[in-house]
Amino acid sequence: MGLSIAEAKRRAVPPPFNRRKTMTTDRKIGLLLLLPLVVLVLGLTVYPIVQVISLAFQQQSLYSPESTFVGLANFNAVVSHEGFTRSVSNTFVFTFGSLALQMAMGLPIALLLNKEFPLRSPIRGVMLFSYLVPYVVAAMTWKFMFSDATGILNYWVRALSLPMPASPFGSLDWAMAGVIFVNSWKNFPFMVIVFLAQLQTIDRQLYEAASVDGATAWQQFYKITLPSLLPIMLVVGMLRTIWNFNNFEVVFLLTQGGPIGRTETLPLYIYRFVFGEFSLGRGAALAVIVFFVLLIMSAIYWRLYERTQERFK
Amino acid sequence: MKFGSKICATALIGLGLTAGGASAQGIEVVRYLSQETDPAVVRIQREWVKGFIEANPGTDIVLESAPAGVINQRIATYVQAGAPLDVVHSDPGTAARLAVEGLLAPLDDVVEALGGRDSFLTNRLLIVNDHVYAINQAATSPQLFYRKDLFEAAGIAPPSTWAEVRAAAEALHSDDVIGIALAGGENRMTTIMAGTMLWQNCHDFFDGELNVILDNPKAVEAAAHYADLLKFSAPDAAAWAFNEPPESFWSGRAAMVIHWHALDLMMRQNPDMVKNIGIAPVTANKMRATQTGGRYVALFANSPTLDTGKDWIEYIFTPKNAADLTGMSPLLYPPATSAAMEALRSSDAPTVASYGDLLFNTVYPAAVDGYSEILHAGGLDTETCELRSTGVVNPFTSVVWNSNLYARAVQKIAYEGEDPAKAVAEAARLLTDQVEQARAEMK
Repeated sequence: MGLSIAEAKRRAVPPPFNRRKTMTTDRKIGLLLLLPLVVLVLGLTVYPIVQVISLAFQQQSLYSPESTFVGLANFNAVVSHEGFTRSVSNTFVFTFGSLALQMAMGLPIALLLNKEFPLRSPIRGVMLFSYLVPYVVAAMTWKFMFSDATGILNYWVRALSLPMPASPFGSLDWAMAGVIFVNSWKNFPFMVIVFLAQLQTIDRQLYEAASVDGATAWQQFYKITLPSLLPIMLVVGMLRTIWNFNNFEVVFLLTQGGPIGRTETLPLYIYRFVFGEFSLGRGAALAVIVFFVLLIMSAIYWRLYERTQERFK
Repeated sequence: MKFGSKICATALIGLGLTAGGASAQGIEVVRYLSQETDPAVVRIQREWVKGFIEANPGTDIVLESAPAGVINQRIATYVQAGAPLDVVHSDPGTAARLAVEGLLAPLDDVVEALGGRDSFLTNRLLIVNDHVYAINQAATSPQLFYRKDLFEAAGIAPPSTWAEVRAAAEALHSDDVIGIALAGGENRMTTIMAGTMLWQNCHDFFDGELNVILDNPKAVEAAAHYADLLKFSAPDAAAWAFNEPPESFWSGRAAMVIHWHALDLMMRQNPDMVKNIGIAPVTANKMRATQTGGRYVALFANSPTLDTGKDWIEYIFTPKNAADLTGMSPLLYPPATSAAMEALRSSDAPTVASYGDLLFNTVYPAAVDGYSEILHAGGLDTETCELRSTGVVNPFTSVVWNSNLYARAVQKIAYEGEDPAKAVAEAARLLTDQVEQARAEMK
């Protein structure tokens, strides 16, 4: 028996899509798949932060899991400690000194690598070298090169009578400059990569039009390149500020915060509280202070970024 | 099968396989957290592991190395995490603190099995409440190492007093030669060296009641002397710690160095130079005192494999195994027992053949001047300038060696020109605060 045309049409149309039921199952599966990640984030990020904040209000020895609630005593002890002001000041000098030097090294090199010239690709690869080297290797290499016993740079500084100490990491006046330099040498390729990527998105026609209008190279840079780079400069500025602020390896490996606290930044100061004075509570209190300082600095950067975005819309 | 059920089943199978694998193995694993990173010594430790596993089927030893400056942090991390630790190779101050805090297992039966307490040399056993909690595996004292050629060329005899060391350092110091390779960083090396000079000047960090007594003219004089000697160290000595002084010495740049095992290292790095090196006891001022340092082997009380851990400690101290270690590095690991000392005299180890006379005539006899501030708090009599045994274990020396406040005082005097009395008084005040805090935190 044949089907009526109306029946055939009815059967040809697929049953109505059960949107609610399907979405519910998808959501369940989606949530289930997200669950491990949520647990991971909570376990690896939120839990340690909560633990550190809790520890900041406890007195606890390094060799005992038992603790006593002491209120704000750890915060008082930390801010009134003899080296607190000095390490805050050192941290800002190290952070923004490194940021400035990394920008100053990264931007011209990115502009150069954005030009067409022979062997550009391999040279771009070589520029990444210092970024790929582990911190410990970078720091120890520079330390050896400036070592009094075996350092080749130490030898040349002395041989040429250069106006700097042959071993800057042991000099009261030059140690901070030394650690800023090594940190910048290690990390400037990050700036190069990011700036180069952004430079390649700038429409060439803008430069051609500006050139036709008689704009000089400086005017082209100031009016076209720099505004295009500004948003990304703020983003990398924020990231590098956080990373520099938290940097422990370079300073610890080169100077351990010395000489006489000249390079003791806040991360090293935390280390000193925890492993020098065996006070987990004071170390945690300082870590909490650092956390909130970084939050405020990130908020400032973010606000600046939003303003820049609005300006160039 | 529903989706959720599939996940549960997979998880259960995974767990079952893991648990089954672990129980099928049934091996008792002992972790040995060692601060030894010297490849030659680690090779010997690996040989021990191999021998122990062969002799004790069903056991395994996991070697975990952490450098001297890092091992305390590693131990603390385990304690804070509540994770069980087995055998550790701790520094003296930490061993004392762990023992007093009740975190270590008694090793009396191990000591008995090795011949009893009397068979051990002086200052080898950490005893609290008449129980042995740790055995010193590297009871070494720093010596003064000097370059014979430089001293002979300048017509200078090996120095034996503070004044003679200063005069020699000044005479030999030039653009090409460092008079004396001394660390000037704010670190444990500087603290130990300056602390040794504090003892030589007949004073101490603590009295017998474990009170800080650093704020004293003799402590000021010792810090000022150390700061004065730094004039004849390297230009970057302010950043020097443990490694730089011996490196400077064996590279030929320094005329003198105060160190524990510089010759052992040189034997491997620059063997031709060994015959050109002389060793003299560390210098004396009001007295001749030097540190009896060391690395203490201990077993954590919460170890799940206590018996195997004890077997392992006994194994590494057996005469044959101890002799292998001593033969490789006789200045760092002198024999722990009289029997082992005698065995070393007849050893054919290259180190003993090359400089055995220095070991037996100069280095090992210097132990009579060795002060163990860990085992004998208040044992340095600040009136008579004599060393005596008190048996009072000091759990707070780790605060001195980790906070490095005395080293900071030396730095301030040497590099900032601060008044020595003011710098030492500040160090004493901060040290007192930290010790009192540690006292409050201890059970």
